[in-house]
Parts: sequence; C-alpha cells; structure tokens
Amino acid sequence: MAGSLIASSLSSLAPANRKRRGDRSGAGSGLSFLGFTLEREEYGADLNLVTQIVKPPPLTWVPRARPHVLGVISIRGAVVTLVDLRQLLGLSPTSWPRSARVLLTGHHGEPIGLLVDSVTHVHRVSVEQFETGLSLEESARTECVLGIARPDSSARVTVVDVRGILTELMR
Amino acid sequence: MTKPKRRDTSKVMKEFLSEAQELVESLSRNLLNIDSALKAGEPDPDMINEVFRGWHTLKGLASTFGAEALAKLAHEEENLLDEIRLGRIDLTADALDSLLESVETAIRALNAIDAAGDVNAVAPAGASEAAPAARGEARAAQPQIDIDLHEMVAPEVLEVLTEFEEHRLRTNLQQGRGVYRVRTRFALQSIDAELDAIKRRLKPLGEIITYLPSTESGDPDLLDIDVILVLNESLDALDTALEGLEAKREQIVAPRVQPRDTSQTLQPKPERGGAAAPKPAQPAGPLSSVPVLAEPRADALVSSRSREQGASLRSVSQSVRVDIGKLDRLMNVVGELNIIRTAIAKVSDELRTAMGRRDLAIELHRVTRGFERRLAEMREGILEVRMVPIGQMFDRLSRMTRKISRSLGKEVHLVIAGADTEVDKLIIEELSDPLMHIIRNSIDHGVEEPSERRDAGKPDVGTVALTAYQKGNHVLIEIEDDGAGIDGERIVASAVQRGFLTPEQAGSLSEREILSLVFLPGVTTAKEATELSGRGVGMDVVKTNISSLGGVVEVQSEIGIGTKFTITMPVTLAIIPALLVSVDGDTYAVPLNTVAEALILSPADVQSVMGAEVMTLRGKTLPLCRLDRFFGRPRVEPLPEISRVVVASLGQRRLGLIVDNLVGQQDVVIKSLGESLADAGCFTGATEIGDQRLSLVLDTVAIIEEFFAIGDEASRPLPVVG
Repeated sequence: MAGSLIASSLSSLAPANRKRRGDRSGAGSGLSFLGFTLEREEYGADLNLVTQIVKPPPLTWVPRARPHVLGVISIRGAVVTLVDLRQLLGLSPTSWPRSARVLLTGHHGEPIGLLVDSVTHVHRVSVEQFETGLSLEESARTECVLGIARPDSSARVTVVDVRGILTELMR
Repeated sequence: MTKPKRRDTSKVMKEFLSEAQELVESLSRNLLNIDSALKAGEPDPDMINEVFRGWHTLKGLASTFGAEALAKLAHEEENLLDEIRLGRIDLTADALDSLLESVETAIRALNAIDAAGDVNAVAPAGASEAAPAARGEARAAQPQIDIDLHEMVAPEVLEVLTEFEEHRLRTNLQQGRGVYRVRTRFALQSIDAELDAIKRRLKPLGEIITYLPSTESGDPDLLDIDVILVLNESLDALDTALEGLEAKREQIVAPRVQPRDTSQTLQPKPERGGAAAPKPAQPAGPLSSVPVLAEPRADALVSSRSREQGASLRSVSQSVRVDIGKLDRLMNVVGELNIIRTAIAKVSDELRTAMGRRDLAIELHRVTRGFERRLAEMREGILEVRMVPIGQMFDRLSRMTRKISRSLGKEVHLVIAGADTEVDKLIIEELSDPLMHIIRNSIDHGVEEPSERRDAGKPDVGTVALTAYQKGNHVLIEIEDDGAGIDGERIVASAVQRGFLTPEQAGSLSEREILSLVFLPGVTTAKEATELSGRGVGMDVVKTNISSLGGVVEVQSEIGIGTKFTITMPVTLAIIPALLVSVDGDTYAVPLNTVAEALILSPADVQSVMGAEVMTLRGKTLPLCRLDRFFGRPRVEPLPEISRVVVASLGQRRLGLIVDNLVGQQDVVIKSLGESLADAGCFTGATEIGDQRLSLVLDTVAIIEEFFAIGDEASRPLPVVG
C-alpha cells in the first residue's frame, strides 16, 4: 500500500487555471504557482511544469549519484529520479514529514520528482504581485529562485526556478 | 499554446518517416534481388517494375509531406527506372551501383529529416558524386529493334498496351517466345482473390504482359479478363496450370524457340503455326493467320496506364510499424497489473483464513490464478512484438558488402542464412555497426585478391557467409569468410609492439588467446592501413559494443582456409534473467549472462596482493571488489563470517564481487535510468521486483572496466587471463 497514488493529478486543478486564463478582463495576464512548503516556509513552482503530485513511494538509493539526488522511485511503472529540493535550496536536511509529496516534473522527457514537505494550494497572482531580482545574504541559493509572489498583503511565496534547477541538474 | 499542434506535426512526421523508410527498405531489397538475378543472368522485369513503382510511391509520399528534395530524387529515379524497364538503358552493374547509391541518399535524407524534425532538412553529402558518371554511361546503351511488332500482333492488342507492356512484349518476341491469351471469367465480388490465384499459377510459366478486362459476358456480375502471357514453358504446362479453371487459351504469336521445359514426352508434339522449330533465332514471319482478339475490344474498365500504377497504391504488407517506446509503455502497464495481481492475491489469501464465505474466497483465488496466467501470456505477447527478423539488418549489410567489394575490386558473394531469425529490435539497431565492421574487415583483409585466390586453388569470387540462428535464449550470428585467415604471428607482433604483451608472455599464448588479441585496441594484421580498415581501430570497439549488449564475440581462424567470427547475443534486452543480491540492505540485480558462478566467502579466503584483495579460485588469482566500497559507502566492520562472491566475467577478465547475500534468481524487466543519474556509471537501469521498490541492475561490464582501470593506475595487476 505504500506509495499508492493519491488522487492528486493536477487535472483537478487545471480547469480552474484555464478558467482564470480565459478571464482576460480581470487584472491582466495572471501567473499560477503550485504552493508547497519546505521548513514551514511557503514556496511555489510554475503550475504548468508540474504534471502530478504523488505520495512518495519507497525510495531506492542510487550509489554514486550526485548529492542532491535522493534516489529513484517508481511512479506508474516509470523510473523517476527523486531530487532533494531542500538540499538544492541550501536548506538544512531533516527527516521527511508524513505530509511529504513528490512533485512530478520532467526535463527533456526524463521524469524527475521534487520532494517537498507538503503541498498547499494554487496561488494566482498578477504580474504586479510578482517581485523579481531578489537579493539576499550570500548563503541563500538565489539562483534557484525566480522571484517572490505576494498573493495578498500578508502572504509571501518564494517561486523556485524549476526549469533552471533541472537544467543545472543535468549538466 | 502551440504545444498540441506541435505534437500533431511530430506525429504526422513520424508516420511519414516510417512509411518512407518502409518503402526505401523494400527498394533496397528489390535492388539487391535484381543484383543477384543480374549475376545469374536476366533479372525478372517484374522486379524492375517493382522498384519503379516503389520510387513512384515514394515520390507521391514525399510531395504530399512537402519533402521536396526527396521527391526530386524519387522523381529522377523513377524516370531512370522507367528508361531501364523500357529497355532504353541497359541495366549494368554500374547502373545498379548508382541505383543503390540513390537508395543510400534517400536513407541519409530520411535520417536528416528525422534528426532535424524538418522535412526539408538537408542530408550530409554522400558519395553520390560518382553517380552521374555511372548514369551517363548507362544512358549510352540503345536497344536494337529488329522485329516489327505491328506485323506480329494485331493492332487491337497493341493499342491498349502501355509503353512498358509493349516493350516487354517486344523483348519477348525478339527472343522468339510465344504469346498467348488466356481468357478467364471471374465473379466481380471475388475478383481480387481469383486474379491473384491465376497470377500465381501463370507466373512460373512465363511473363504476364498485362490483364485486359472485357465486359463481353453480358452478365453484370461477371467479368472476363484476358491475360496476355509470354510462355516460357510448354503448352502442356500451361494447360496443366489452367486445369480446373474456367479458362480458354489462345495463341497470339507462336514461339520460335523451344519452350524452356521440354521433357522428352512433350518435345515431338507439334505446335500450331509451325512452332517448336529446332533452331532458335529464325526470323518469325507475320502470323496474321492467327486470329487475334476476334471480338471487338471491349471498353477497359480503367485505362491501362492507371491500371498499372493502381497496383502501387494499395498497402503492401499486413504489418504495422510501432514505436518501441509504445511497447515499453505497454510493458510498464503489464508491470503495474502484476503489482495489482499481487495485491489481489494477498487479499484473497487473507479472505481464506477469515471466517465465513470460504467458498467465495476459493473462487477469488481461482480467478486470480487465471488472471495471472493471462498476464503472463500478455507479457510474452508484447515481448514477441518487439522481435523483428534479423533480415532487416542483413539487407543493409548486403548493400554495404556489394559497395565495398566493388570499390576494392574483389568479387565477394554474400551468402545469407537465417534471415528470419527474430531478435529484439533494440539489439538489431545496436548490432548493425559491429557487424558492418567485421564484414568490412573480412572483405578487406580476409578475402584475397583474385590472382592470389587462383594460386591457392580457390574460386575467384570470395564468399562471406552471414548466418543467424537461435540457440536457447541466445541468438548466434556467424560471419565466415573463405579468405586467408588471421596471421597469428603478425597479431602477436603487433600486440607486443603496442605493449600489451612482453615477448616472453607472447610465447606462452594458446592459439585461442592469440586470436583474441585482435580485439585489443590498435592491434592489426595489416602492414598498412587502407581507406576501409587496417588501422587497428574498430575491433576493440566491436567487442565493447557487443559486450555492452550482454553479448560475446569470438573468433576462429585457419591460415589459408578462412576466418569465422561468432557473436552470441541474448534474444531480448527487455527481459533478462538476473541474479538478485543484497548489499547493505539493498537488493541489486546482476545480469546472469555476466555471472560465471557464485561462491561462499569466509574472511580467511581473502588474501592481499600489493594491498588489493584477491582470492584463489581453482589455482588462479581472482581479484575481489567489495560492492559497498565500490558504491562509496564502505562499512567499517571487517567482512562477516560468511559473505558471497559473485564471479563476474567479461571476455577474459574476471572479477569477484563481494555481496552480503544471494536473494534469488528472477527474470527482470530493465528500465533505463535518466541522464540525471548518468554519473553513477555502474547501472544499466532499474527494475521492479515484486514490491513497488525499484532495484538497480548492475552494469557488470562498466564495473569490471572501471575496477581494472583504477587498478591499472595504482598497481598494474597481473593480466587476468581466464
């Protein structure tokens, strides 16, 4: 039963996304991010790049792989490389909570999973609500970040550059 | 937003490519058939016509998809073949070279289109420069017309013939063969099958010039068809062939020469119109006395020109081309079904021990077993679909053989056997380069110059035999030439010169060991390199490529008699038998074809040679590799009281892999790992073993190579000769 797929294919989210896109009369062209958490901080990923959200199936360690590769998992018969997003973003390693999920994405047809602490919901922001050109203290891996989205005055979502991360990963 | 559209175009592109490729392959096959027919005498005009139609179809296909360059090439070829089939150009070996060259050009064009995803991608220029010259030469030939068709054949017949049909008729009449009309009557509903049947009966007897339909019968459901046939055999043979058919035969032109098949009993039988003249080549007089098509020419249902071309529009084969990725996906689904089956079986077992409804539990168990069997059948079925006849590759190889032998001025006859042996598609793809290399070597170094061959009492024409057959779970491919054999002394000298052996070591080698030196990089028998081979580059690559597919290549040779390479390959890569081992709590699969044996190891067996761990196995030193160390997670504790050694072998190299335990043996489906894991470098893929957890499949070849490469740097261990 471990690793059974939860009914979380993004198709349930997509229609809302489409509706939003069709509704051009509103606040210009909007951006949609899938919200997830790492160390209680809220992050976001481009919704179009995430094809599925699954509970982490049993992991197989791959000897001699790069440090941020946790190993391989099997999702619907496909071999997926599981990437430790925490390590990529320079966060401290801890054990994974029960709410952990795999965001399934891909790079040139190769399936890649990003492991996150939990998935929250989809954020929709206008271009004005999206802040780029972030500068933080040196240790922060800002090159992995596209910018910060502010869906409302109190919330702040760090949007990671999924495509950039994957490209870096393949190098 | 353009995403779905792009996917559509790529799908269309794939269809175009696969259809075009199929056409090109059949073109190649037909041309090679013509080549062998040409050597034997006269090629069947049907073959030439087939090639003509193939280019015609390809032209249509290419224009439809806007592949203009390809369409242009096809158009030129179509014209050239038209000239050839009309006898305006002689079909010489040179002309055939140029025709085959065009097929190569088409293949290159298709590859370029595939790579660029653009129908107008430009193929890298090939050796097609040679083509125009050969072509010009070919055009010089002119047919000699020494008979007057119009005097021999009634105009009603002539005017409905296409130019090609007329040419064929003329050619046959020049050779003094008899022409007959066979009138048959078909029911319209079954006309295709019946026409095929009569074609099959008549084809062996001669050449069918054309089929002429007539509606004379008056019955709308019936159709009369006249087959205009040039008869090579006796009339009796024709009558025998027509037996049981509602068919009438009638002579149009009497034969001037003896029919080919003239058994004693038939010979004296006089033919109408003074046929069966004992001496050939006598001018035949006009045979106006023979009524030709007494009936008025009935309206043809279709014009004869379109009839002829219509044949090419119908799909040739019953087979379907499938992207191998789709089969992989199907195989994945089967894997998932298997997991579900395991889950159901578990529930069913629990139900049986639970209280009440035991009957239902037993029923469920029974049904599950049935499901299991069907699933196994399905897995088998999908595996079977992946298998393709190795003949596909042999076609390519014979094209190349012809080219090389002609460019070297050596005549080589390629004998192919076992072309229908089936091998996994992926293996075929990977094998074609190594095979090409071996054949190239055989022709260049193996087969001697004609004069040398004569001195050795061999026929001028060299033979390279390509044989494939299945043996258990393996396919064996043999490449055997009747050339000079491999000169062991030169091989040894070359290996010593390259520093692989000391002269002392060289002296103690067995014959087999000497021959296997050809697979070392840089080792060659050739005194000087030629354009094709002899640089000593290649055989090592051949060996590496074959090993990486889990295959083995061996060589046998006898001076003056010839050389034989034998390649042994697994039938499929998709499912391989594997030994499951555990290391530090994880299960790994070791492909069984790389495992020589498995042993129990106690710490006392381990010795140390210059700091490296080894053990003695049947009097020989076996280097040991602790897999946990190799994986970069060495455990500090000493070896446990009992661990296992899996002896992996790659050619002559052997390595003992130390694992914790042997888990079992199982057929596993290998799924490849992505680019993101390429760094690991020691796994061929992952596989699902029962539970949903993946197990990694060891790349034994890479591990052995890496292990010894590192060892070489550190201490240069003794050469390990198995």
